[in-house]
Amino acid sequence: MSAPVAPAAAPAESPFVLDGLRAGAGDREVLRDLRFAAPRGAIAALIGAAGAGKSTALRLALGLARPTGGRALLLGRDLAAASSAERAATLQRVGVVWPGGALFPDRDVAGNVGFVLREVQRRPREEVARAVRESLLLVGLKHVEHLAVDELGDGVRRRVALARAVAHRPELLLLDEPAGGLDPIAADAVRELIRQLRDRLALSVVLLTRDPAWAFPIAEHAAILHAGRVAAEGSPAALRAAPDPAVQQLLAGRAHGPIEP
Amino acid sequence: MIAPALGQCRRVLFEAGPAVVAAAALASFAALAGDAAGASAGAPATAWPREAAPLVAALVACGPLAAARAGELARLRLDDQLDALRAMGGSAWRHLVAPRLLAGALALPVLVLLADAAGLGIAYLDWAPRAARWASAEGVGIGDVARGLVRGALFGAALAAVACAAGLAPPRPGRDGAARRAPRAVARAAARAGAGGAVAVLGLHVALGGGFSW
Repeated sequence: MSAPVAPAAAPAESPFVLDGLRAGAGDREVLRDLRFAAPRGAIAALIGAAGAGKSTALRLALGLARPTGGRALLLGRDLAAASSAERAATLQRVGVVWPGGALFPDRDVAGNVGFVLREVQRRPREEVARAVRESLLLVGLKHVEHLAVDELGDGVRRRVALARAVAHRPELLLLDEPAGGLDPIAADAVRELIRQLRDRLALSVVLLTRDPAWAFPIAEHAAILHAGRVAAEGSPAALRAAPDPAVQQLLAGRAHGPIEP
Repeated sequence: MIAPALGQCRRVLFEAGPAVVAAAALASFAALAGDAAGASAGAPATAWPREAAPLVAALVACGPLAAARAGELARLRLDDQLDALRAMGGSAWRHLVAPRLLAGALALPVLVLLADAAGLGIAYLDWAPRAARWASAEGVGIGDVARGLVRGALFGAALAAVACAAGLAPPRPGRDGAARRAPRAVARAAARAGAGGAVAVLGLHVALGGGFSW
């Protein structure tokens, strides 16, 4: 019943590779032999229902947790096995947007957007201020540098999170539910921004989302995650034609099917 | 690190409620002075700034310094901010723990000074004649106050350490996801830190040679 699996980029060329990844939470196995490779320079989407293991895969790829089997390669490096120096160097080439933005509440917008440049890379204050302004402009924001995070609406908060993720000009942008919880207009604006950022900054992008209808208009490559592994992979058009009942249930948004609500 | 630490320090002082510290100090000092002038008549007034005022201030600060900061860190972990920090190459020690330890070590001496002032103030302003006679007879000096401030700084750092340990401890794994566990996990971390902080303060008080009947 497996759907057509389009030829993904070879692991060595892909900036984001999940290679037979296994992981558990408590006594539950969340990921079982998960295999996925995002093509370089493309917008790829890993789509799955709530609890499918998307965020777990992201944390494993970033080296924030250790897999029970397999490996995740970020820009060719297995961060779970890398030295702290290698890990730090690789993370400087990656930008991440977390669900809800995960902005630091004790810093203002400029402090959040310039965090990597100022606190990690120790760039001069003027250079950081300029990069913060430019990054905010890239996401369509002006004169918000000194606002507190709790003064921001949801849509602006996501834009600030995007600006923070690209402020240090990464090669790879990872986004976990970048539009989750937003109204359709704000969600569309975030989607358009992601496309623009990819084009302007020549990024490789990996979206992790539960909403295929949101992801398909910009995804050039996508995989549906079900029961801890990829149920179908390919272009959005190929996935729409996939016979796998879990894929069809997710795409149709039906309560009945192999995916438990 | 200094700017975040000063920000944390301001929050601790604000949340501690200077009036609460002063009220606790007044009540404790009056009880101590009354007892000293009465039945036991052996307590030196220098015990107030040296030991009792730091203890009172630290126990009052278990809420704002230990429980509240632990809840804040637990919320930060559950909202993915800790992962965001680590994924950007930031350090939990440098950006979260160290500023809180420094804030604790700075904020507690301020509360101790407040407790000193509240306690010794009622004595020297002659609002409580028996307490005044007790305090002035002992000749409380600047050295006694300084020793109490150092003790307060140690208590503050200990409370902050307990808060960081409780707040940054990994949540229990579960099927329902972080969002649904969040309120309970935050409350649990705060409760653990509040109780753990009180035990740590009392333990440190004894370890530093402090007693409970002065």
